[in-house]
Amino acid sequence: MFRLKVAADKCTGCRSCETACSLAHEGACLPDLGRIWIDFADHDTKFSPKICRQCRRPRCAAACPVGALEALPEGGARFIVEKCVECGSCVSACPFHYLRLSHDGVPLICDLCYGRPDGPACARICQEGAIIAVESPEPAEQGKRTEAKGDANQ
Amino acid sequence: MRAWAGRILHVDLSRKRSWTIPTSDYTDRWLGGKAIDVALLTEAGAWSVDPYGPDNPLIMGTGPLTGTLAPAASRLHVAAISPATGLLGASNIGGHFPPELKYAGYDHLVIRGISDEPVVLVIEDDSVRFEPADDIWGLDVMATHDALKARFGERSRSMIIGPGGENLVRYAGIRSGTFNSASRTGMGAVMGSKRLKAIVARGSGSLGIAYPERFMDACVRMRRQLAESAPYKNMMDTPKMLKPSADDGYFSYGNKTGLSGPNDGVVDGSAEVLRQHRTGKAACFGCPLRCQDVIDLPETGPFGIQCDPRIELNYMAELSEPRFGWLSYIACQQMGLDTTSTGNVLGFVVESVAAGDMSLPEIAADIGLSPDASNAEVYLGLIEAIARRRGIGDTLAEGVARAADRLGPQYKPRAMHRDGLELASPEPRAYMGLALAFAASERGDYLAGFPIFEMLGPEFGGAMARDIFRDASVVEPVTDRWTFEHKELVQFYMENISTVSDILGICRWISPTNGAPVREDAMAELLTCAVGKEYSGADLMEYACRCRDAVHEADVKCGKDRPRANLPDRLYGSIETPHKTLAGIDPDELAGAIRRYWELRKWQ
Repeated sequence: MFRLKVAADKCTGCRSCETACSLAHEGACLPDLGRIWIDFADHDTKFSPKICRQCRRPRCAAACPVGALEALPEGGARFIVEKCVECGSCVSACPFHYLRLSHDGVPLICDLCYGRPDGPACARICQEGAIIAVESPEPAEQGKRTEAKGDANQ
Repeated sequence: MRAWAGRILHVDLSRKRSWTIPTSDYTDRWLGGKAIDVALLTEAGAWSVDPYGPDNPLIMGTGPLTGTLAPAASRLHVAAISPATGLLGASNIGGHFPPELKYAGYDHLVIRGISDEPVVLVIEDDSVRFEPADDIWGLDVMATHDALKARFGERSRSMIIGPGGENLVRYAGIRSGTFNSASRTGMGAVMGSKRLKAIVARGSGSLGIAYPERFMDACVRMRRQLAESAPYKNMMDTPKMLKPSADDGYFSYGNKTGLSGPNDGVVDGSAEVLRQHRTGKAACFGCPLRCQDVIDLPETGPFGIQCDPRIELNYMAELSEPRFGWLSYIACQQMGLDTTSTGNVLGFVVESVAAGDMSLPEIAADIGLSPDASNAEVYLGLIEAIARRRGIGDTLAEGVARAADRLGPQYKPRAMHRDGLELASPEPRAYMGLALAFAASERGDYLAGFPIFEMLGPEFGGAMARDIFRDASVVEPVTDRWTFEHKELVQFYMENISTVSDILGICRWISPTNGAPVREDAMAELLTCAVGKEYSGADLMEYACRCRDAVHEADVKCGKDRPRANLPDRLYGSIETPHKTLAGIDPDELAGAIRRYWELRKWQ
């Protein structure tokens, strides 16, 4: 089990994490399909990676009226595409302004590259160490304590 | 069709129409990027057109790897008949616009005609629109960038001209944000002649990858290889990287009358300003090398600087005021001017002032500055005056060759250009491979044939040369900077590997042109994984040769003449500075090297 750590000061805004995520999940390249994304500010000279915090009690799942996002015991939420009615309630509910919709209207939520032997693709591609995958120290049944307070990028 | 977006977008600005054709009509023969650009230009057959007329097509092309996970897959090649040289213009740009154009569904743009009024071309997937640009015409680059982001969304990406392009400065470039620019050969002026202030792209289409897992593994492997390479480490401190060659006379200054040296203080001064004001590093789309610095000066706020051009500007203009390099670079960026040509033009002014043919107080008065403005203030003011064609800026906006024609016979020997394009600051008298690159490369520039082996010297350059040429007898001459022997092999290889990058849509800085490790076989592996068809490194080099031949044929149709020593006369004379004396380039030896290079290319 992994969790992701972000060091925004190391991010160079290359967006390879976005592209790697789309390649890992869709088999194709389109940064807009990334479950991670880079926020650009100050004339595109400041970069902040936005990642899912894998909240223990995910508000996105609580806000979903049709159960398309299912809270997981270890934190975060699983997306069930068949149930989604593309209402966007999950996006408004995310306290870290992370969650966003694809061009098809469905939420793009990080699954930490579940099942990929090399771990999360975004961390694998980032040679700057702006995104690092670390083995989760907590046993899964206790849930992950990544629902940090304050700035979502710390 | 995997990796490619699949369509070429044709736009007629006169009639406000657009249509598409399939990219697959061109990919077998040309593959992509620069090669398809040149094929499209050849098809248009616009050889003797007015560069500012409706029939000069402005062509932009991404490659099959642009926008994919391949390292540094951010590039787009721009081509048109150049208003500076009358030959085939060429410039290459990275950043985030090129991938976005592909996500919108287009590999190439072919823009013809002239709009009646200033216009923004908006490309959002299948919606191609022409929107008024009266409100942003005249604005500098970053103000335009901000206005476009406000209008089209934070994740839209744009190509922009500044006042330089609007006013047809012959060395105006096209910019994308604060970091990126397609600056050389006046492509921004061609865009300005069409009254096209900006192109905005936003796309939602993904690029298919034939073998996603293998592609991912290859991309990760090459990024690790790059992260262990010397160029990656050097990018953290570019002044330090340039210091040894600057000490050794790599840069010329004062319009090729002086040489950089260990005590001139330019690199150290620039490094000090960088240390004080750098707030971070930045990269183009997908690039592990992150060659860009963010500098936050009190006068300007945060701006991006790419690959240390401020040192080059400082040297060209011979102003040992470290902030000048930074401020002048930002001024060029805001006005949408090529820093290389602008630096050369300022050097031309510096020399003319020293000779008593121009005076700084008169220039100051002419462009509306106070007569007691400092030298640096006058030169900074000149940059905007050139872009807005104010006072003498109007003459200097024509470039040094035409300006010298206009100003008088004593100015002619001071015009440091090849075929009308201003020379960059590296000193050809100190490196014979560089002299050949300046003389024999397309577009009047040295970059495509950059002689990395003699730059790196016998130890590192020799190891690379052994690996590339597999012939022990050429290693010594190609790493010896004082001889023309076998330099045609260097020119041939470097142009080819650069062209492969320009065809695939990846940055040539990850390749041997920058001393970096990604060579043609590795590029072929990336392409094979992306498109699902086997390519070898040799295949890619063949595409590169075909493209270079097509550029040459186009140049011949535009009036390029036989191989000859075509550099400014000054470079055939010696140069003496307190720390170094260099003999002039032997024009016969240079002409011989150019001939050998033509023979290698099988050109008649």
